Amino acid sequence: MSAGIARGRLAEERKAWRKNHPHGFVAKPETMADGSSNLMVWHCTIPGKQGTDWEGGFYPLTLHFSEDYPSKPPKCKFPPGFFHPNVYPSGTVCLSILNEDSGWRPAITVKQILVGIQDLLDQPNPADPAQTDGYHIFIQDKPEYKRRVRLQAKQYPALL
Amino acid sequence: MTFDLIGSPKSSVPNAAGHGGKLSHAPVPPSGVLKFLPKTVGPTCQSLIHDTLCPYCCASSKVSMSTVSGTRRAMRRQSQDGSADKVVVNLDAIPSPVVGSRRQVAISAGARASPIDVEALDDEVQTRRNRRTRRQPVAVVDLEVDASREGNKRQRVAPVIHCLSPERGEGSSLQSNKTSKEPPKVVPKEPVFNCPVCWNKLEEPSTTICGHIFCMTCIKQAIQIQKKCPTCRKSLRANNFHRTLDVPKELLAASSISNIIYSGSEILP
Repeated sequence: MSAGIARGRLAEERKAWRKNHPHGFVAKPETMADGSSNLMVWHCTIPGKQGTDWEGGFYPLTLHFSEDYPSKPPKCKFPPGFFHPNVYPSGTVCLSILNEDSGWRPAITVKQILVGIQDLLDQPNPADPAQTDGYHIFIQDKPEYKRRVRLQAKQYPALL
Repeated sequence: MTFDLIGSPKSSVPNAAGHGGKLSHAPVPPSGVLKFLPKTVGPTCQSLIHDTLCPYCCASSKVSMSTVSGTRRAMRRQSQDGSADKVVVNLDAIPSPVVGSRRQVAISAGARASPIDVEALDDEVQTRRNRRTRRQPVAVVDLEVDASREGNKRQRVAPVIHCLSPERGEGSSLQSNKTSKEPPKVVPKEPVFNCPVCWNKLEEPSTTICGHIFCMTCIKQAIQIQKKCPTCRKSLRANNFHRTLDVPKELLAASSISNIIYSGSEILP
């Protein structure tokens, strides 16, 4: 039952994305070794917002959907060690709309998730830290925080 | 002669000048009758005039010149009285596009008598108006007019007589055809509703108590896993939703009704 819904919904999401998606974003189901695509894992790219310290970076994000999707949110992961107050050391994003118990709604789309995470990049939520490094620097040393963010942006240049 | 007479009284009416200009666009040269009719027509008439109404009116004027002149005179008298102007306006209203299809029917029924009736009615109207209020004459007209048309107020006045005349029937048929064909194009596309959970077309659409619509299976499952509305996160219990009337079918029914109406108007002519 649920599996059917999850894959069907993801197929529709993919269709909708191909018709229209925000500029600079990438969202693509994982390609298996045999050339088939795995709808349950999406490899995405989130561009840093223009005019912010995140500009110029294209941050890779992986969405892991469960069979209970869309009743349960996907797990969204940056590469491990990603520098951001609200990203766990494992790279998992901590965001209200991605939390089943707080803000997740099955009506939320992949597009909304990605745009929401792009907003989160430049607007961290210090009330809900997920890593000590990013959190402490953000609280105690803003110039250093900006430097680290810009440095990280250079680590993720455009793929082309 | 007739034209001049008619023209002077009409000139007093505010709309008369505008109609004259429109009439000039019409294929048939404008006659005195035409000038009268346009007054009442208003916005709807204007659009129609170019295509059918004007030609029709012109034809009628030519054919029944004698009749027209008689009516004109009557009109003239009325206009002098001051009461006539408004009445004339009402007559113009008759040509409204919607009515068009029905008109023809009415025309067929009343066409035979119309020439005679026209003059007779005018006389009656005039006399009555002079004596009494405008409305009484209107009532006389209404008997014929109402049968043919839906509208109440506009059609009441004596000018309706023109519509009844046989010549008009031709023109009205033309109008009805054109007008009837246009509305269907405007009919909006049937909106498609997708389930926000599965993103497919709604199957067994069901509404939560918070008003959001899902497939029956989707909402059941969503409540099972997370006891909240998938759209607004309102807390829901397992029975907090119910089947909805089949929206697409309803829409279909509505559109089919409108189609019937339009097609009917087309068929009549």
